[in-house]
Amino acid sequence: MKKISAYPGIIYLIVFFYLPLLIVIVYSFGFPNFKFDYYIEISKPLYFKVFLNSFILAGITTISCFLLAYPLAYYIALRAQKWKNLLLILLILPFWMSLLLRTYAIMNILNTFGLMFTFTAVVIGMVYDYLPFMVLPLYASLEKLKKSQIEASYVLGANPWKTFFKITLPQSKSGIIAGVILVFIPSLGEFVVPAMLGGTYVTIGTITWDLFLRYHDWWRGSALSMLYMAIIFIALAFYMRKEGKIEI
Amino acid sequence: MVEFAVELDGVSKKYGNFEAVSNIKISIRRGEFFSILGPSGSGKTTILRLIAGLIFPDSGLIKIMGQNCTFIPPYKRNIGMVFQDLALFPHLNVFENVAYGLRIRKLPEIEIKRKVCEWLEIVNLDPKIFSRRKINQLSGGQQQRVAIARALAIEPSVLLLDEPLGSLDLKLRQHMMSELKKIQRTVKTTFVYVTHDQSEALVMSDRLAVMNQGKVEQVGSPIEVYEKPQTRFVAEFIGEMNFIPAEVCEDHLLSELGKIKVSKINGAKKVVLGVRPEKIKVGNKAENVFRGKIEEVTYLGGFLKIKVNVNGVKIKCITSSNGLREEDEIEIGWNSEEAIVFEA
Repeated sequence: MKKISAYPGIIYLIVFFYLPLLIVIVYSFGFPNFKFDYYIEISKPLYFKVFLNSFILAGITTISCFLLAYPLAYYIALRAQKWKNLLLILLILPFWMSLLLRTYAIMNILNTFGLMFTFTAVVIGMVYDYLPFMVLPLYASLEKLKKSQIEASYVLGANPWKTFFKITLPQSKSGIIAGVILVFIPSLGEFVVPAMLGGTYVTIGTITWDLFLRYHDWWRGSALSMLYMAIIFIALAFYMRKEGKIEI
Repeated sequence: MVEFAVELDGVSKKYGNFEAVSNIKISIRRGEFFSILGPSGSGKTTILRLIAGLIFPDSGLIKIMGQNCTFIPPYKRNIGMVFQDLALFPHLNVFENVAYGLRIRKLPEIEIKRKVCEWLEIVNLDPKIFSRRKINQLSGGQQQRVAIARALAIEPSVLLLDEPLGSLDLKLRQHMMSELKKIQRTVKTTFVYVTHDQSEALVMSDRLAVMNQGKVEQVGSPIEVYEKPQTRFVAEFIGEMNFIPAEVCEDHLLSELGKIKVSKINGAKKVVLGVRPEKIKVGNKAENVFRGKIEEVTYLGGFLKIKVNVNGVKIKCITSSNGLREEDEIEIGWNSEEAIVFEA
């Protein structure tokens, strides 16, 4: 491929992503002035509580997704045999629908059980939306695992539990990391699900949404977005320094 | 002291309606190199997996070192196994692969280190060079050796090998064959070796079982199995053999070739006579002599392989006599004790 063929994509990203991002950065420093007031303001305990809310929600979502996804991915990858493809399609099928539609659908279900506008409702909705992003990378890593390795471990004297912790789990590490990144980061900034299902549960996502679109407070909204990005950036950079690379 | 490392008594295993093995009776002596030879789908890998405990039989008894192990899970059997795809653990280095079974057994670290180095040396891998290598940094032959060391390190009652040489090229395969035999003589562990390759089985084994369609056709030493095949399948599967349909007539046979003298006759009326190509001599110095025309001559280095048409029956022979040409009329023959009578 010639270099020029990459240009349309690069130009697209510059016009629709990096340029707007630059505007957000400029606003976060108090455009048309230049001051740090907004950053200082969002460091206050009120916002800290919002960040904490988001981290708790993202953490619970990620753990729940992992606990549900691992056995499922294991089953599809190593046991399902001829049902493998069907199960994968069934897993992806709901995602051919838009997120909004799905969230409206789950609102009805949650309402039936009287769960609407609770933290539980938010978690259920989040897990519902992000589960496949955990299952698919786990499936991809487990699929590469040869069944004979598990058998070899048995024959060498390891019972099924030891085999799982010494053979299966370490070899699905790349899938676990990819899955955690794919679920944790978007759910940290998620606003649709908490806004629609959560009522008063405020997250970085919902508060950014409110600042921008309800109060037209571009400055605080921008500063908050920048802080959110910085946190993720630092976390990933830290991880990459430690592990060298991320396989997704 | 138990005499047999492994005993299978009337073992059967079905997958759905397919009978993978049926009524298997094999006793494998302690310290012997025992091969299970058969074409693919004959049930030989099933037998290995039954001994390992990776599958359980539908009926029958499996004893290992005299203990009934029929339904004992694999991790309680103390068995070594070299898998067809080797099944090395790619996330562990060579040392940790070999140490795996020892760590499970919670041996002290110093003991583990000593044993792993010892076993790596036995399989001809220098521990100093290879310990820290990743599995994917090894050649096929080196991976083979790691798999063998890993399986033997736990000092198993028996080592099972599932066509471990299948993926190697001919040169390396021959080298590993003599290597394996050497290792077996050094460690004196019972080896059970599954293969579809008759030369592997004949070269390495003390005894072998020939399998066909889930049943054992014959158990014996390589010489017994080659020289005295008990069934037509064994005769056909191991080495080459001419088969001549014939009818029993008093103390001899009648066939398309004419009258054939035989040393032994079983009860059947219709039979098939088997003669190995290398047992057939060119010339008339034999009990049974026939005239025929050479149809094909193949030069094989030290000897010739010829196909002789005797009254429409094509007989393959191997001979060292030179100067034979296609279309030549020659006499060939064999002595009666060199032919085997099978039921038709």
